[in-house]
Amino acid sequence: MRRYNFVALVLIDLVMLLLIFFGSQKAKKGNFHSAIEEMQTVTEIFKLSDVCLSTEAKYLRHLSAAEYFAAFQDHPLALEHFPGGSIIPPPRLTLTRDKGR
Amino acid sequence: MREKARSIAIASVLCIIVGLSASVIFAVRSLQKEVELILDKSPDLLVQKMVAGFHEPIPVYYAERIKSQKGVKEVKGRLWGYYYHSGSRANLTIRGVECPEIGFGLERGSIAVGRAVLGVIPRGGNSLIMRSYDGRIREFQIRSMFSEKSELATADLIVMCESDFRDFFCMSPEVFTDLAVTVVNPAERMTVAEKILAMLPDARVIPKEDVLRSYRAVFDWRGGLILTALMSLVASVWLVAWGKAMAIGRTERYEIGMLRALGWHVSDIIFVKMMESALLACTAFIGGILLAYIHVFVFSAVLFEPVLKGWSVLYPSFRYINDVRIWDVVTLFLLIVGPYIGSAIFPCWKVATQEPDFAMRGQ
Repeated sequence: MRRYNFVALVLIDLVMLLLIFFGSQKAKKGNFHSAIEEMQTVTEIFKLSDVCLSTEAKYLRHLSAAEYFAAFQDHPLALEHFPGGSIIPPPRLTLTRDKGR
Repeated sequence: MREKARSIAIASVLCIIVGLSASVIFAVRSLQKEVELILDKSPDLLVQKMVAGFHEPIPVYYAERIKSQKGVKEVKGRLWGYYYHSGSRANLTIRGVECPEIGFGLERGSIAVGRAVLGVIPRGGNSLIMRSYDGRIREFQIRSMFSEKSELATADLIVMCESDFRDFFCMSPEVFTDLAVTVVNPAERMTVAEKILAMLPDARVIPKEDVLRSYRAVFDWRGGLILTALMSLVASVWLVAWGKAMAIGRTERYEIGMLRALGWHVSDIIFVKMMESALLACTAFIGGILLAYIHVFVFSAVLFEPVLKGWSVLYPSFRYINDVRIWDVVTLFLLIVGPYIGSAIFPCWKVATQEPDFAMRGQ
């Protein structure tokens, strides 16, 4: 590798590192705190228990209220077929009695 | 020239792989953090009534019984349900609240809606028409709208007065959808949950920990799934890097031979070649991380949206918060850049240990 190529690559790296550094500083200073505070307020006021990751099926929209056997949520043989169901696994419950349900 | 083109091609592929893998990690970490912060304010315990394995409305007197338990601070009935808007084929979540105490300018006949709900309303309209459960057509005036900042919590949400909710869903005043319980001491959440379960055998009690754990599992599983798919790409990069390393170019062979003839030590040559590979790989890596930053925090991980969205008609526009952890970046570096640098050293050592004239003649 020629010397000027070497120096150019080092300079490019430095510029990119600076961009990442200042970009992340700016992102941290952004209005995310106010967004989180707003979401926390809404969650507290309306006593929400879930976030809106998918609106395909009720057991994907409200994971907290989903059954443990989520694949058969609505009626026997109601096989899971929503795309979201493949990336949102059933809830993790600790109270043993629920696991049987 | 061919050497240069090959190096640029490998560096570009490396950069894209790092960019995609880092995007997954950044997005997953961000959502995990965001959800944890939001759900920190969710109810300590949720109590639902079960009938034959199905979630049924819970009688109001259940709230009184739970309130009498030691360690319970407050029990609030929640009214919520779903409405399928056939015109737009969207599923909406409806929440009934006490008006006007709750604020948001709500009164009978008016609603507060999330940003995504606007998608089901005709352009320029200020009301939502829905068919109630007794067959009547009801029109609700949109009084306020949740800001786009809170979309992750409110995208598909419609909030209306309790009386409107009961009227719309033909729900008796004797029941709630479920109960939200606040405990005196959060450390005793599980104990209180077990007590409620013992007192009300037909109830399902969901502690906040379970909700948080479920969501954590969602992101681990989801991120893991995408990363598994990306691993095949990472493996192909290793293969390309290995191929490049094994077939050392004529120019490079000549260069190493020349350096040896000029009196350079094998260790010096290996060090220089390692520095060259490291610089190339680091440039690709830093470029990839920069791409991931831009993709996730500027363009809200637009490439992953189809995976996350599925068949959802209403979907929040995520705004990712910056929660990048240095160890995630270091792991990715070791996984992708490490093997690349390693594979560059071996052939240099092989050529450098030959006689200089053999190396220069390419034998």
